[in-house]
Amino acid sequence: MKAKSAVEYPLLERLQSWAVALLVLVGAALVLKPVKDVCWEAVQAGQAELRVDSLNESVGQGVVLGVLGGLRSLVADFAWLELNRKWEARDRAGLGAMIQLVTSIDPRPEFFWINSARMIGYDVPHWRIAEAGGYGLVSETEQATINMEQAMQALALLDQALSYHSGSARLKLEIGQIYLNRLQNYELAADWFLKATKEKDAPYFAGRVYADLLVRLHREREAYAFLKELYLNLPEDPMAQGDIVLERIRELEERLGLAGEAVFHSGAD
Amino acid sequence: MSGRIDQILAVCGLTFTEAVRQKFFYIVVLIGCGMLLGSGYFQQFDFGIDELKFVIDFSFGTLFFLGSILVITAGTQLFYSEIENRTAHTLLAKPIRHFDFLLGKLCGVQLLMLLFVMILCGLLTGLLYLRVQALPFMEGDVLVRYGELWLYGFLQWARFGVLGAVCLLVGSFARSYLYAMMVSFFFMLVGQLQYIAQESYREIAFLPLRWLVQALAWVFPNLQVFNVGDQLGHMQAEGLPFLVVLQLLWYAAAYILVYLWLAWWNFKRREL
Amino acid sequence: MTEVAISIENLVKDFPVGLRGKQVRALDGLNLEVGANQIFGLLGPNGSGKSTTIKVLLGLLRPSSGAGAIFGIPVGSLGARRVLGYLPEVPHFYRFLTARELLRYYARVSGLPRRAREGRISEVLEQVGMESAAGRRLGTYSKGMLQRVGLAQALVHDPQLLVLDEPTAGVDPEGTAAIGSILCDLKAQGKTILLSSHLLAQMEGLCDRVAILNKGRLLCEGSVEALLIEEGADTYVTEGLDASGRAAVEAAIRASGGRLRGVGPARRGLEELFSRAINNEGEEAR
Repeated sequence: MKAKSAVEYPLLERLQSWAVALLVLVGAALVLKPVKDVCWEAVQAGQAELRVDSLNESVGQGVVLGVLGGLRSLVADFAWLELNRKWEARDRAGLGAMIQLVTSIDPRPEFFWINSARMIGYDVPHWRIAEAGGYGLVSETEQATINMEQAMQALALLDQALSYHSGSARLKLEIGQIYLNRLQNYELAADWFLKATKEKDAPYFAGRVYADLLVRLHREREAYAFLKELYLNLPEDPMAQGDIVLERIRELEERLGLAGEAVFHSGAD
Repeated sequence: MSGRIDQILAVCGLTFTEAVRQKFFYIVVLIGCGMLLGSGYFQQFDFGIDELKFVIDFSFGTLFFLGSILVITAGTQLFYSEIENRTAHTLLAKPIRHFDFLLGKLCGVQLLMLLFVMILCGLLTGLLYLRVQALPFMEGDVLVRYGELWLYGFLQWARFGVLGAVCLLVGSFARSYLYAMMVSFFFMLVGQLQYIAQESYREIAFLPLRWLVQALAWVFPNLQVFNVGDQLGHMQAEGLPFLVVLQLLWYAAAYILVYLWLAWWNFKRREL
Repeated sequence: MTEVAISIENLVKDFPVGLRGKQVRALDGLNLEVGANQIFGLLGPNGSGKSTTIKVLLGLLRPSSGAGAIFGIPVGSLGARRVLGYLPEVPHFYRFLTARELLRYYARVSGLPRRAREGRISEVLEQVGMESAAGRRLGTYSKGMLQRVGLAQALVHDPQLLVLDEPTAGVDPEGTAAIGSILCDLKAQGKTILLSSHLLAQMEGLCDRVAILNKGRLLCEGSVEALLIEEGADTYVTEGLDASGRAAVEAAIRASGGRLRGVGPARRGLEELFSRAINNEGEEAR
């Protein structure tokens, strides 16, 4: 009796097909593993870790799938638009949730952190005071408490941002601004402005503001030394505004009573 | 050999002609262009130069998402319709190799995807150029690296090639168009997400499940490696080393060949 | 000895039903030889195995056992497909192409060199009488025109063997006659033609030889003449006889030891009637 071939057993034939396909695919994966590993490492290096847990809490499965599947930036951008809608509607709870969502989906753009912190630190206090009856009804002590609470929340958010962007001058400046404008804590504001000046992407004005803060803290000599150092290291760039720095130096010399040989010789004089 | 190339080109040309005649292609292109043009909406938020990153993110996402839908829908349809309409009978009765027929089909779909990528990348380049002119920025600052926009498009095109080959493989054994399309979408999804399995299988305590998860990584390609949009285009992006670009292309080419070979192996044995 | 165009030996084709391997036998040990330069008819009711035989010859189906060859080349191979042209039962073509574009496509797929292509396309278009409509999209064609374009695509790479599956199915008698005439021309050019049909009357006037299949088995095979002629019986068609004349003829038959099996009015076939009516109208119009 003739033995039946695989063709005569469809199940056997299908199994044969699947087995060949699996073998080829596994073989290909083995051969391509070194290439894939290099590519994957390079791609992952450019991506911040995703906080999937916090994502699962805030959104549906579809969004999680989209984010995980490679549409992270797009989903984050859409969430950012939604966040702005909440902001326009002065929906505090919604805003908080959306900030959490956006920064969970895509913690890479500093823009998300900075603008979220500004909303929390600068806008929400006004909303809360308005909700409590307005500036006429809410006492100054209560206002200060609200300002303090919101500023601390904004600082906490920026602190979280620093874990992703430890070398960001923009974030450090933002922290300094909050200490300066919302908490009137010149000491800490100065610390953060100084930290910002040490970063590669620091704007030229950071150093000038730091010196101003030292003056406000009555640390004129320190400010004078800093500005001299700053001036000498300014690049040949009109945006660096060396003339303004020199002006500040002269103002400080006057304040410190320096004259003659003691004054700073810029080379431009 | 030139005869074989002409046979492949003939199938490729007809596949492309058939594809660009379909309304679906125009709908996808129109949606894509509409989304890109709509990204001008971000201007309302006064993001400054961050707006450019937004537009780039948004456009890359559009290209990735709509391109994936287009390649799977068109790839499955253009191949499976030949079987369903029995045009494959007339065609395969001619002295053409099954492999050349499949390669021609894939090339036709890839030509379609190239057109799609070029339209979207061209539009994105134009939009960004116009926007950059309107933004205040320091002289010498490079706000957008236009070449990298096209590099992203090219790498996505390579990824579409892998998906196109997957569609041929699925179509080679599928018994209905809907089935072929669903399986191809499922394949893409697993390929896109298998990196999670790859990274987390060690934490799974239940052994059979751990093996299963590990096996996923061996059977499906990691399509997430083509998710390089964050490294390209805008001024804060770190860029992609040339060697990595080459390796990504090699990864895509190798998988295209593997799927094409499997599709041929299946299709040759398929009874029409 | 005449060259063999198609040889089929012990061909068995089973189709599995379900996963467990239950088989439906479509061809059951078929043996067939078709000589070169013949018009060979494959006859049989629906489901008799005609289309399955053709698909095996084209390499679209794999035989479960047995073998086939075309001009000595194993079926399904590239070489075998090079020497055959195929017209399916219901040809589906790309509706957005014109006939000339379709033929150019198939010519390229068949590997026809570029320099020979355009000339050959014009030649086959003329052969099937479609030159005037060659620039029109296929979507606007009638069934008969599509069948002719289908025939042209089968011929475009100048194959030695033409395999036509129900070439006249759904075509009106005029179109059928035109296809018949094209096939006769092709035979005159030395081509071998294998055609399947269940329309027996059409085959009778066209085929040199026929084979009748049923349930995957070959029932009989031979030349049309040999198969249709009934040995020891004759037909007389008379005209102008009155009753006494008919009685005299009948008596003469009986007297010479014959047996009269039947008498009735002479009938012509519907197809003949249709062709005459169409031709008469054409002549009157002129």
